[in-house]
Amino acid sequence: MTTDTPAKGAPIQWEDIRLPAWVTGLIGGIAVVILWWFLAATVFSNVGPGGAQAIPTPLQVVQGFAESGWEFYLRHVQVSLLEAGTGYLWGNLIALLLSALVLVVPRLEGVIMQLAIITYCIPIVAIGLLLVVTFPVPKPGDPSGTAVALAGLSVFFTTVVGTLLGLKAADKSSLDLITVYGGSRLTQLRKVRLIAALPAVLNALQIAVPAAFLGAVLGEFFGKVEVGIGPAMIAAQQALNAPVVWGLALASGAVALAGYGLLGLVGRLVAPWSKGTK
Amino acid sequence: MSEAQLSSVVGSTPQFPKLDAAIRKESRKGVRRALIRSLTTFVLTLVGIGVLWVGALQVFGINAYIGKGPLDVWNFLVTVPAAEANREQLFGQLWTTLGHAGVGFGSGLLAALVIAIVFQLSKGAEHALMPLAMLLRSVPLVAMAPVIILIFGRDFASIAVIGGIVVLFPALVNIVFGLRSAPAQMADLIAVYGGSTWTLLRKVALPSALPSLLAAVRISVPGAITGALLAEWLAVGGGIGGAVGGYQSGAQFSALWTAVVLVTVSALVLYNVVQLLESVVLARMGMSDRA
Repeated sequence: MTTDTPAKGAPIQWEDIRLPAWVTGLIGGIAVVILWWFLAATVFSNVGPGGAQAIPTPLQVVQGFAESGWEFYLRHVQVSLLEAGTGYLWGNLIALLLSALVLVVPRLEGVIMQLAIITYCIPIVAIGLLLVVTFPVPKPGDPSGTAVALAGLSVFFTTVVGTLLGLKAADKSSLDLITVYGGSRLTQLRKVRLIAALPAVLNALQIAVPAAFLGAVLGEFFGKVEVGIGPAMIAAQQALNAPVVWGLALASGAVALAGYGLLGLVGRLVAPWSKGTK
Repeated sequence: MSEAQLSSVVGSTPQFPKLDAAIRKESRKGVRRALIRSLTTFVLTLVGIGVLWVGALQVFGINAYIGKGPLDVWNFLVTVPAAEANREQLFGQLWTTLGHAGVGFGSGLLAALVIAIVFQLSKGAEHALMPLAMLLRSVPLVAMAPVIILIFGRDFASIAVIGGIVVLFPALVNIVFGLRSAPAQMADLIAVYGGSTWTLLRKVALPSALPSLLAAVRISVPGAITGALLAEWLAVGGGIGGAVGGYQSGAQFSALWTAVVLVTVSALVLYNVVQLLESVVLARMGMSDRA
């Protein structure tokens, strides 16, 4: 906030030194890895059942990654990604269709919003246990229906909220301009509303990526599926192989973030007029 | 200028008592109308959900042994001979879960508020910690649960941590956004008069973050219940989350469906109550246009 530069000879004021965002980000990241390493090697070195180390050091995680190999991760991530992707498509498709319905019948907005809130209030844990007995057991290597359903359920609320927000984002005077020039409501929709709505919709679709992936992985934890991040994690947990559990957790975090970033890039390409992702 | 602002301005000058009263009356009428409209929507949605529920069971041809309808849930709670015992059991579990949810809600929201204020006071902290928060958010909680249990044990602390993590991230994003929404001119004014970042936070950023803060509270309600169920399911047991696993393996599907309905309805009612409080507070503060 200060605008004056420090006078010559004055001690350096740390407040005035501004590092670029990525540098502080990098420093923060390194600091956390060091802190994790330190804690894992000292305080938490012998927590865990039967003295098995539950919190591995970063080095052990990297070693575990190298040991289990690229193939192992690819095989499991693939299935979870397929489940997340299917759920993402269905959840968002239904959310977008219902929100588009609000354009045709504006009175439905309240009902559709309440519907979205209900899907947000449904207890995932209980509904997952119900779905897992309802869906047929998938063949080994096939995606789990429970995971797909939970992925779809996880994205529905945010996409409906984002889309309804976007449909209201149209500039009043632009809409008036079209009316004055004799344009119909359809022209308004085509030339103004959709364009104004796109940033908010894309933002919602971006937030939905990690949500869908997390939903899918959680869905796998309800069982009856043999390949995927969830079952792989359960197996590693039961084998007390903490480095692999952490490797899988970090890998799934990385996949979710990569998907988030990718959608952000797509958003920039499709709608360059939206101001960033915030 | 919004209605509430206008009425407070007019109210402070005694020469327009009639106008003041008229405005108050109009505003009360508006609140009543909004209340009736939202209640109608709520009831309509409940009916819609019932239809969707029965329809889905029919369309997907789900075995009546597993797939229970609204009527089965009603019977389970009201008409069957064991109804009273059922009610006692499930409502008892529901209370436990809601208590756990309150713990997660408090800890998560408090953490989000503190972190957002730290971010506001120091940009460096935000740049260093936000990517980490994003990564942590993307790691499945089910993977972290064993570690959380090992560190915090199978009791109160684990509930606070697991529930807090679920609540923290959406609330944090909302509050950070709200703190930034203060007009730049106001920040300049504080800076020109020699105010510190702390003064800026206290006098400008926090008040203008109120709508986002309330939105964070609202979306945290279902999140806290989800967190409580996860904590019970994965770590501490007790409540609905600790019981549903047993209901499933014991093939007590009526109890399982009833648990789903009870949790959903409680979350829904709490969400709508918070939403109502939110709109009342914002109207009082003259900020209803910014919600």
